[in-house]
Amino acid sequence: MNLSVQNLSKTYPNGVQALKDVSLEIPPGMFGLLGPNGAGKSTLMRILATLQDADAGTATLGDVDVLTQKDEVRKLLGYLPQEFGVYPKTSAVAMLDHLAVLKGVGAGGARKELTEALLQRVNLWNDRKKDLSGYSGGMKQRFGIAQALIGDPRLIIVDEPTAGLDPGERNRFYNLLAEIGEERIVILSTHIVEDVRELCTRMAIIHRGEVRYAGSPDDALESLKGRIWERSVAKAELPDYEARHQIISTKLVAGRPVIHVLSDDLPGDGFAPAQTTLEDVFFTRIAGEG
Amino acid sequence: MSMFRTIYAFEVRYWLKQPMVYVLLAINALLVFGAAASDNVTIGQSFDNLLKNAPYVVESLYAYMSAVTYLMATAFVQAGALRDFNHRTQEIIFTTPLQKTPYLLGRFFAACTVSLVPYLGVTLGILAAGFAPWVDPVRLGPIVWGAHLQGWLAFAIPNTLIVGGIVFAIAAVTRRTAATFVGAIAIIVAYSMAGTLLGDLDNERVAVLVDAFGIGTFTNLTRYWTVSDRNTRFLPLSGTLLLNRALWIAVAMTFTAVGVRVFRFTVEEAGRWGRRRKANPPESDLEPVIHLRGPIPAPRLSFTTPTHLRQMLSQARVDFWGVLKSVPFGVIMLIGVVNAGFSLYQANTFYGLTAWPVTYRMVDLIRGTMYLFTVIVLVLYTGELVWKERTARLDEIHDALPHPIWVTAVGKLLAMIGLIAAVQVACMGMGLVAQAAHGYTHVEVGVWVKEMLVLDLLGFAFLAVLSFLVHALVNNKFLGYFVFVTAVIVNTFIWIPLKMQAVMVRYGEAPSYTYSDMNGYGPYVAGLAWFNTYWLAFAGMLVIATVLVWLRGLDTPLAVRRRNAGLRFRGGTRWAFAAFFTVWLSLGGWVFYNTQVLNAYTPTRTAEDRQVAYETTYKATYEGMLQPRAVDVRYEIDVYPEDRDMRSRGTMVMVNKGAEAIDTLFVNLQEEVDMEVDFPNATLAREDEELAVRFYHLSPALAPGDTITVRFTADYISEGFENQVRATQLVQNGTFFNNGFLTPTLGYQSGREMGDRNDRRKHGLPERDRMPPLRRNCTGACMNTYITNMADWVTMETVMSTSEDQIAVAPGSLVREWTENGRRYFHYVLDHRSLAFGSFISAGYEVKREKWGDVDVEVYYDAKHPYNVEKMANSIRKSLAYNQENFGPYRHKQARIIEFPRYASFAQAFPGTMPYSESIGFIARIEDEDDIDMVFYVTAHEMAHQWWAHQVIGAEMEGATILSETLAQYSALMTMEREYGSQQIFKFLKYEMDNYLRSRGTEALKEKPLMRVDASQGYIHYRKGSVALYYLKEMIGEDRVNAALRDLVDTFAYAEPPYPTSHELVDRLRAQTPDSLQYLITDLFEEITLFDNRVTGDPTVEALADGKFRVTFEVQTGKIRADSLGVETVIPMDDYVDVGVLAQPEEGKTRGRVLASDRRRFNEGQHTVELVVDEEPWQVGVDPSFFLVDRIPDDNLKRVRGGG
Repeated sequence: MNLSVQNLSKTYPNGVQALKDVSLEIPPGMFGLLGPNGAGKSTLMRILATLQDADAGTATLGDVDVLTQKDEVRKLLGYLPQEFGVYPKTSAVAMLDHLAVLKGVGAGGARKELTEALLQRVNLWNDRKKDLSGYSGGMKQRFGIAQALIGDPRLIIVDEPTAGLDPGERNRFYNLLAEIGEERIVILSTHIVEDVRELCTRMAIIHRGEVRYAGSPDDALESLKGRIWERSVAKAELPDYEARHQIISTKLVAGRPVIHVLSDDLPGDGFAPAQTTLEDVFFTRIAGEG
Repeated sequence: MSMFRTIYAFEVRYWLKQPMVYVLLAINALLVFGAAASDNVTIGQSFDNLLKNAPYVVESLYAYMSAVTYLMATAFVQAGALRDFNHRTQEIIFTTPLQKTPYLLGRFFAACTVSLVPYLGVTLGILAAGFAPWVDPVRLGPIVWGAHLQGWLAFAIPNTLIVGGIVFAIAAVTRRTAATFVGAIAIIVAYSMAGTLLGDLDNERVAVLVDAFGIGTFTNLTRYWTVSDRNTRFLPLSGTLLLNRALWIAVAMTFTAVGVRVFRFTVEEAGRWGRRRKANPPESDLEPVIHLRGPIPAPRLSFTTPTHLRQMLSQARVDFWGVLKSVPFGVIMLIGVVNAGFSLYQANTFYGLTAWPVTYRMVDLIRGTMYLFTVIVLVLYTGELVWKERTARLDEIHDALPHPIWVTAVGKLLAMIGLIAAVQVACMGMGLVAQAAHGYTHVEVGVWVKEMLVLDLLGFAFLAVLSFLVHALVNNKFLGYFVFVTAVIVNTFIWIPLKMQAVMVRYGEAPSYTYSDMNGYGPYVAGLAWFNTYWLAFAGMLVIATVLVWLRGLDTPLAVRRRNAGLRFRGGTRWAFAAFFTVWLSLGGWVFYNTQVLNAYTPTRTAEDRQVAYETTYKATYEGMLQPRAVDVRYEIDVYPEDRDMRSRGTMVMVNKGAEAIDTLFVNLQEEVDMEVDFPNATLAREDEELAVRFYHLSPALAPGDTITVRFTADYISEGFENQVRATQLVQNGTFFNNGFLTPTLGYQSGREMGDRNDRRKHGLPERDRMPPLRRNCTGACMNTYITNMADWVTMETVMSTSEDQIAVAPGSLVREWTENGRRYFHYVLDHRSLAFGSFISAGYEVKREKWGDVDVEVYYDAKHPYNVEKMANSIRKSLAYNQENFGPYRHKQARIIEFPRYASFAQAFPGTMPYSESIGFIARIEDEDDIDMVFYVTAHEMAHQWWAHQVIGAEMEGATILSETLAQYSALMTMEREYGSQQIFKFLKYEMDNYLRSRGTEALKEKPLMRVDASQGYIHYRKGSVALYYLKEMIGEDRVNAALRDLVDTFAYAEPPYPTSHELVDRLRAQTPDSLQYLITDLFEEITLFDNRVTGDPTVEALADGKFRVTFEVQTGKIRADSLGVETVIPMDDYVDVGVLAQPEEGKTRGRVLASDRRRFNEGQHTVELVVDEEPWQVGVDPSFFLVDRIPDDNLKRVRGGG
């Protein structure tokens, strides 16, 4: 079962065009949706999660029309929004139970078994009776993934799940995602390039509402192979280089700017070949090049 | 300082840009404009009788609006104090080099300043009302700017600072908006408790200081103000008012200082009322995420209706507990419960009287004290629940789950209704405990449940449904609150000004009802059931509408929501809506048919027009026209209590008592019943159906002395249910009507004219006297009593039938009783000619019967109310004794008290019969010896009417009621004094005096001297009458007063007209009064006289060698005459006034023994008094027993300091 998005567009009442003619084919497995802040990732995911309507285009999940058969989509969906909270003064187990009921998990015994299994799975068993509002960011995020897994969803959408997590929490979170992403469609939106590299078999880069790249991370890297050059420069020289070269990224290494440029040939000027990273792909694509 | 100025200026500018400020200003202006320009809107109290812009009215409006502006000030001040926290800018602000004190004070004073802007609405509203075109120019005086200034200085500014200071301190300590509002509500509760204390006379001195807003202080200080005072004076900021204001500003500034002090310039979150969150243990990177490998269970998902119901219940349960656990809910409910508990514990008192805590009273107390908070919770938490997921940021997860949206909406509605039900149950429990604690063991769970969990809960549910719809529709939490509250206010208040009487247009309303212990819900059951079902169906439609517009997902544009609503409106939803709509429409038709067609009622406007038409059409020609007068009346009345039906037939023998023949009869039919009349030898000359007036032509004419017998029928057949139940005289258990209900009247009836002065002017009718002016030696003008103009003394006979389980009572002795066709018949004959004024009663009664002499003393009472039956019988016996001894024989063979349901709450004297409402004497509780025995008093008063009204009755003329009401008060006082001693009388008279002094300030037309009192001036003929007669008795002696009264009876009892006037009484009293006291008759009866007596300076006490004490004190005396509007003139004084010394009151008493008392003759001015007493003095006083009508009685006594 694939998720197929065709020519999706969405414009907000304030005139911001969040999605422009977006088309994507998403097979089972981990799918990374990469883009800078405000690129339209969240809009796309919310449309796929039935929370917003598109102005034009179609989206189908297998033979379910995502845009009109919302109830059908919701039956298949697990959704972890970018930011979420919980009811105040409610324990993890009570909250998860309520969400399970709303998901359609019926009989009490099976529901209890499910919530217990999920809480153990995300390692919240010991803290299950605690007030959720007292959870740390990582624990909360694990609760989020637990609720998204209720009812064995076929489509899992996680929006910026690692924002605000420390590296340890992030690792644990990826392990969990990787494990569940084996036979489902998992869409992971992020602006952190590493996330995609580590987890995803397929990816798309979105910028200003448009798909700038869709394919596998490997193909993307391949396309830039040998075309990325780097050089460490003095701060004062930066404007000079910007004028002369097409700089795709600048970052500080030990306090000195290191610039990457895209060029089919060695640009000279002291540049050396660089190890191509997904970050280069990202910057290249959002700069509208490559 | 400059930093303060900068912050202050910045804040004020910031606020002045907020639209809220101007919205509130507009609201206040409109409110005040409404109150000042219309008689239909009132704030605090009604000012019918005063100039629209009287300075007193102006100042009152400023005072009362303190309560309204209260929440506004709270909003501004808390927002000012907490803005940085709420906008999460505290980290930015607190790290700048601002100094704490100027920062906080700048914000505080800026918020207070801005809070005053809405207050301008008061000024604007009052001024604008002066230009309202419909305001009668007669009711506008000059603009008194001083009153506005006082309003600002005494109320607007201080109250804003007071509220601001306290709220600021709470905000500083808690740093939470919710907590601050809760604190604000707590202040209001404390405030209303202070108001309760103020109601009790003994605490007044404390209470005027305790009142944080000074409103009670203001009303207390102006309570004895006369109409003239109120139209010309305003209360200056001095004396007690100044003290109160200064005290509270000091309190407020202390709070502010504390607030500044405890406000920490740190970002650390204040503990939620001290409790800190537990820190989570740090997680280790090495901790495994997955404990147990293996598949996650994947139970089959279900999307069937049972699942949806389960989802709905889960939502309801989660939301129910969520609200129940939230702190503001708990605090608001706690405040409400404390408030309600306080009043349940106290029960209410009247003349220091306690009543049995019967269930309907407890429910009423809970309504009065708790429901405000319940409504606050309802308003707050319906909004909270609609926004709960969004506030918690759970909305995306929640909305993407595969449940139908009605699950959420209906689940939340159920949660809200469940919460209110829980609160109601808690209140019920509290009420039952209070009943038990008060020793009332009659547990009426059924009534509790019907009142609190059916009727009231339905009312709350209708509100909740509307609130959910509004919030779902408006989709902005605060705007939602505003729209909902506005809608509720409009639904509550708009209908009266619109003269829209149909209850079926008022959302959620049912006909008003009164529960009666005797009759249960009786006549109201059908209306309540149908109306509530009708609104339930309507609410069902609203719920569906709520589901349709409920926001799911993140798209908020209207077009999207409209499309989604359309998408949701299909299948089951559409069917459900159609079902509700059909049911609602059918019920609407049914309700309309019953309330507007079957039981069509006369709209207020039509009723007013008819009053006008009656007067303008007939008064000039027919008023005073000679008509035959009734001499004998017979009734056959069949009452069918279970159906609320009545059929009656009557005959009335009438005599032409005049000197000319009568050829035209002017007949008024009773409009409440179906009436038919039949006069022999008469032809219907003209019928005015609109006004129910008929003219008959008699041929031959009725010659002087000739007799005519009219036959009439009067039927009342109840059908269906009404818009508002009218004939509460006819009910299942406790039928009570009088002869006026079923007897036609002859001649022009001035009682059918429009009475209210302002209404008359509005309709272009001339001013009229409430009663004809008092005349001496009247003949022609004294031919009618003030009760009726169609009879003098009549004989009466009644056969009354009712259902088998009830007893029917009509005037006179029961001559026969029998059962026929399953109905009971009673045949009564009046033993002595009486006023044509009889009561007809039927209910299932317990009867207490005893003989006193040859009089049957009977009390007919409901089995639930046996408490005071013996007291009533005792009072009847004692009254018979006193009155017969002094005023001649009792003319009936029975003296009956008969309980009737509380659809009316009075006791009334008919010949030999005294119907007495269940809500007053029957549940009164007199246990403390010191309590005034109200049951004894009321019964004695009604018994006294058997002489004063039923033997001697005044002509229809000013002063008529002095002969009935004032003399009945006197007889009752004397009877009571003989039973309980003079201490009780003093206590009673103090209440009477207070009531008189207060009431004269709210006199609608003009105050008259006692002997010219109007029949509607109860505060004069009862209250002042008691005080005056008792004082006269004190001065000339009981024997002389009674001699005068006995002579009155001997001359006028049952005498044919002309009827006596008040001159007949006053002349006789004057004749009994020695020359030295003749001034008393003038002062008490002919003029309005007040005294201004007081103790000045501090008394000194000197212990004498023989163990006695010499007490020396200064008194000031003064005497005042008032005109009809209360304009006062000081007059010379040469009057007897008592001076005295009192001992320390015994434990639990408020008044000590009199140690010395001396009656001295004083001129006006300052005097030194010296008295020697045997014991330690406690208080000294001038007129210490409050015999004289004193402008301010309280300053008559003064504590002895030091020596005592």
